[in-house]
Amino acid sequence: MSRRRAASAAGPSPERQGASPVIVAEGVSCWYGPVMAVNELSVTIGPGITGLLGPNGAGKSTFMKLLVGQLRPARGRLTLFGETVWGHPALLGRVGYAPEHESNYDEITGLEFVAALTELQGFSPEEAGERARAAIARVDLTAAQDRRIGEYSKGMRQRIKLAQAMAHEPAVLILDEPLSGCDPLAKNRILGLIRELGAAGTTVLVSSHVLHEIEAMTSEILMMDKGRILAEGNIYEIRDLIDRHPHRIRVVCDRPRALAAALVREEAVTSVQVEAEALVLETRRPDECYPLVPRVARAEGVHIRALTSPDNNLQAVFRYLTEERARRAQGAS
Amino acid sequence: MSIRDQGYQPYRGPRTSATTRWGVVLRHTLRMGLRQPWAIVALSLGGVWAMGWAVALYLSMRLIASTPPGAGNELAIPDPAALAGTILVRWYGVPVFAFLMAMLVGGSTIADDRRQNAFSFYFARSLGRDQYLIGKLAATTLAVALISVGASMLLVLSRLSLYRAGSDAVLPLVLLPVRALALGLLESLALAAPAVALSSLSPRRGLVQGGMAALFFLPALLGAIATSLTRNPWPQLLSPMAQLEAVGARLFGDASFAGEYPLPWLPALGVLGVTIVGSVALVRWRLAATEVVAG
Amino acid sequence: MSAATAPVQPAGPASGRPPEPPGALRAVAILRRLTRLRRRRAASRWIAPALAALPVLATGLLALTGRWGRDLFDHILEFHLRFLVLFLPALALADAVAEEIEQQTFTFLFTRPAPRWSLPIGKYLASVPSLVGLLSASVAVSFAIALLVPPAGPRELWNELPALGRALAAVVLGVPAVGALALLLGTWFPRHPLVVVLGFFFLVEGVLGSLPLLTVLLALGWHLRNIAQVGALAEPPAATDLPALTTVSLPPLGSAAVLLGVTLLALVGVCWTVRSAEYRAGR
Repeated sequence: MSRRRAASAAGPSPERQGASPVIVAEGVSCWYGPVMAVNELSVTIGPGITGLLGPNGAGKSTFMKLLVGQLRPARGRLTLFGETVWGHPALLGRVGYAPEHESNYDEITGLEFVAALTELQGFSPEEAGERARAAIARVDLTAAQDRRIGEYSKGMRQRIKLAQAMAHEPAVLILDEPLSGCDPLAKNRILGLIRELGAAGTTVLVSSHVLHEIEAMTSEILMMDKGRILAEGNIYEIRDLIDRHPHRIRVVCDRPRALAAALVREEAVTSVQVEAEALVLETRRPDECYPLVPRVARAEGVHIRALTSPDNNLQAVFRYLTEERARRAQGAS
Repeated sequence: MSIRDQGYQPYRGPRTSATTRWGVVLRHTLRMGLRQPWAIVALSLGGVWAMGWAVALYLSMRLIASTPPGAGNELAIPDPAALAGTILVRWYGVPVFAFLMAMLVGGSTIADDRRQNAFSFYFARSLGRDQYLIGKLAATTLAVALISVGASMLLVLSRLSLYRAGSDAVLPLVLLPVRALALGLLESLALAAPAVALSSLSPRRGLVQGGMAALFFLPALLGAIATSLTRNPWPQLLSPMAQLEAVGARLFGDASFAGEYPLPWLPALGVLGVTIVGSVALVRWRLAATEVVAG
Repeated sequence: MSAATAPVQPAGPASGRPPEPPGALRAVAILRRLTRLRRRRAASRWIAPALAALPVLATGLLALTGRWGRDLFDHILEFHLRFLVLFLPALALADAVAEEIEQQTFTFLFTRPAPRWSLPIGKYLASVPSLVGLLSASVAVSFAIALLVPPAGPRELWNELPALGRALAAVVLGVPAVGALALLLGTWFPRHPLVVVLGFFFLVEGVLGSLPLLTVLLALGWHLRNIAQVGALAEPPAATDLPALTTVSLPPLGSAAVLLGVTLLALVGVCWTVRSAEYRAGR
């Protein structure tokens, strides 16, 4: 399924041909006490934007912290530009990192914050100040740059984090949930910015648990769950898989048996299961089914109270992909 | 836009009374507070220390028993029963452990809620701010009392278990648990209330704990220096430990509690009361002014 | 997982070589400046000056009630050496690392190409000189009030200047030592660091430091008073004192060496601890 997995055997993906990996993880594991946050993770990431997708607790943030040398891998090897990350702070001169949390130095202004951190990258105070102003302008925060961070909104905090991560023009940019808490305008701005950076050749690893956010930035994704890479490759192939995934729709109505009898005759519906006050139908063509159900209900005089899909979330996609992988493994053996 | 009936049925079963929900805050705060490793350390050290005192009490009882009547006074053996008060008010008793417990549990209780934006968990439901305050204060007092009242009652029980019919006066022994409990609870409240009050002033745990240390050590040391220079007990009036010593001396009828320049007990009790009431008023005022905001 | 090939230098604006990482001293200077900036704007900025003003105020009040001279100054100096010199550096530095972990801001600093130890050392250098200045001023003003109040006067003040010199030496050596020790304990125990530091001071300064045994040598407060020659240390041993165990003495220079040694060892300990620690604030 995965183009990148295919690439493992048959060579790199077309648009990244010739590009060698920037980030290489080989059997990397990391524990939080008894909890295994990252489990035997092996992956290579090249230039351009890569989306790291996964539900809460999948290990995305831990993987990112390992990448910026905040955590030491308990097992395995993790390299950036061929060098081990842990214990090599000099390597961090080429890395920009925006963590997930909102906490910040509330007493200082946005400009002072970004300038001080840019100075820590080795720039002179004047150069750091100029770069800080430019980075703040790129995230559209110039008007608020002299206000204390304590007065910033959630979205502004996200943007100032992004500014400090990119002010020194790093070769690798690691962004942990950069869109969380942003309004649609700020989201668009940040999405555009990340796309620009990716197009300019920066290696951007950006995490989210929202599929369409990642889709708006890149087609290259890594899907993580329970500390493992579940899928890697092109998002459209994964979307295809999702579309082939038998989709369930739950209809709460007053006469579920009557509606079930009518729906079972439709070709788009593969199976129907009747519950006390609802029915659950399964389909491989959800786009057809959503308008179909109310139409049939109206024809049958059935009153629908709710129409939901238990599968319409990322968790379900992960579950499906996990099962699919297990099925394939069984089939191969 | 129309609102559709999707069959929502509100819960109509029994609920606890709104005036007893502080119990939930108390249980939660106590559970979180006592789960901290340092709180366990303070509790364990306090327990071990109190057991050492119980052994001392036993030995002094044996010594008194082995000396001829009247010789005890010449040997200046302190009244073993008074040890139940001494352990509460002298610095070599358990106040240090009780103080550490107040800092750990009380000093972080409201500060942590503010820093972690946890107010919304409490105040977005039918829980009054006074209920929240009572729960927090009671939990901190109880945590401190585990050390102070616990140690004191251990000595009381040790003394009662060594009761000798005929030679021991009954009434003082009957009153002993009451006195120890009163002083222990007063000490617990005197340590817990300022800790909770300071905790409502800043979300930074370090600052709150620093403020607590300053509040207790600063007047004690300045008061002791000024008393030593002026040979006058009044400079110690603002020292919580001196106040407790004065009240303890009155309760246990033992003047040795209060040192060379004893502070009168009534003003001391008054300042303790003002401190406790003032602390509660401060927290109420802070909570009333608190807006539940994120970030 | 494909086999790792030679690493690539990406194209685009990021392809230029990054600047050389800042030297350790430069990183320390940046973090010192950042800390001072934050401290100046924090609501808690008045705490240290207010506490340092207390002994001055107390000296003035006691002078008004007829106390004066060296005796008054020595009593007030006890407050400096037993409380302020121990408490203020602990308050400023115990949570230097813990604060960053509590607020998760260490993630911004420890992902820079600067040595990690520049953070605690930068914070140390942001706090210690100002505290030394503040406490020295507090000692000097208390001295001036105590020694200038009638019936004392400039003559007494001049005669007692060596006492002021010893007191200032105690402050100048004591604040860095206590600060370094608090920083070390706070780095080792970043959860409730101030409680640990105060517990440590209670045990070592309060208990071991007041026993008539060699254990007093472990107490920084004892060395401070030894350098300043105040309290029981300034008085000649009484004839009734038991020899051997009870009379512990050390030349003031020895105490100065102890304080310097503690400062250096504690700072080395801090750097060593921070360089290899994994700080995990949430997942």
